[in-house]
Amino acid sequence: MGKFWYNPFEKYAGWQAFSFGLIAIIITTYLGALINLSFDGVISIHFREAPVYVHFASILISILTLALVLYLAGLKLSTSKIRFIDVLGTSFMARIPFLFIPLLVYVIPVQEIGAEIASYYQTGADEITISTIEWIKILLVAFVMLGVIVWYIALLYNAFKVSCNITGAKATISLIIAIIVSEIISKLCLIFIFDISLIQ
Amino acid sequence: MILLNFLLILLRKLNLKFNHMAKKLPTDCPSCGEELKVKVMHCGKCNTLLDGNFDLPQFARLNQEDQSFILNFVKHSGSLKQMSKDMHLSYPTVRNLLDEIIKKIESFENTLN
Repeated sequence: MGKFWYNPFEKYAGWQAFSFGLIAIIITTYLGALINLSFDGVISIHFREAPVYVHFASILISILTLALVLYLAGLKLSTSKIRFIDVLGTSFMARIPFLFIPLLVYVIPVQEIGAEIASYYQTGADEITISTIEWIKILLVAFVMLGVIVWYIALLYNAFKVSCNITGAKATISLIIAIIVSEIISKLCLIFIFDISLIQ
Repeated sequence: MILLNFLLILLRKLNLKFNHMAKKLPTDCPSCGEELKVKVMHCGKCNTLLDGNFDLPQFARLNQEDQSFILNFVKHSGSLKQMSKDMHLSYPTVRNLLDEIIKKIESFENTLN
């Protein structure tokens, strides 16, 4: 049972994993869009005011780019006959932990604290006053987000391992390179398609 | 007396169970780790003994799990998709298991050559 939480792909891959992942992505992205939380990269999350379709396009471009890069890496490095739907499905399913983030931000709206800090900079204040409660909120959200991202990377590693049959150092190094490359490619795609600024 | 009879029945049942347990064919020498060869084969019907030096078939050199997998593969007419449904595993997991067995068989062949 414990193994299911970090490697569900021994049981679920292909279209089944794709369906589970897609449902989770739709819910996560829609909830995020309601609070201007954008999942605009493989592991990046930003507050951005944009139409709902831009939020959906951002996440789909990011994950599809990642799946494509992982598939190409798998074709090059694996000795097995791999299927794109397995790579795509498991990459989608690995996004399930991100469901926790918009739910958390609903309960602890840290964007208000961020806006307050930004206003201090804009007014040129000498010092920023953040209350203890606000610090606790920021740290709690940061801790949970970090946990979610670590969980996601672990799931992504197992997704890549199972769908492409690559293990060990080869899998680790190629996954790191794939994440960096797909993050860059997806950001460039978003800039060209939606003219979205990289700087928040 | 009743307790003694009960114990005797229980012992007989346990004895039957152990007698019918499938014995695992050893393939590597427990002393030096080298591959074992077949020296004597015996016919259970006419008591004929064959004494020689025979290589173990490659299939017999695989562990029990791998042998069951191959038999399953043949019974499913080579359909990994069907096997994955019956084994309640994902398709790539079953494919990876098959690839591992292929690698083992290839290493046996390389050793022979």
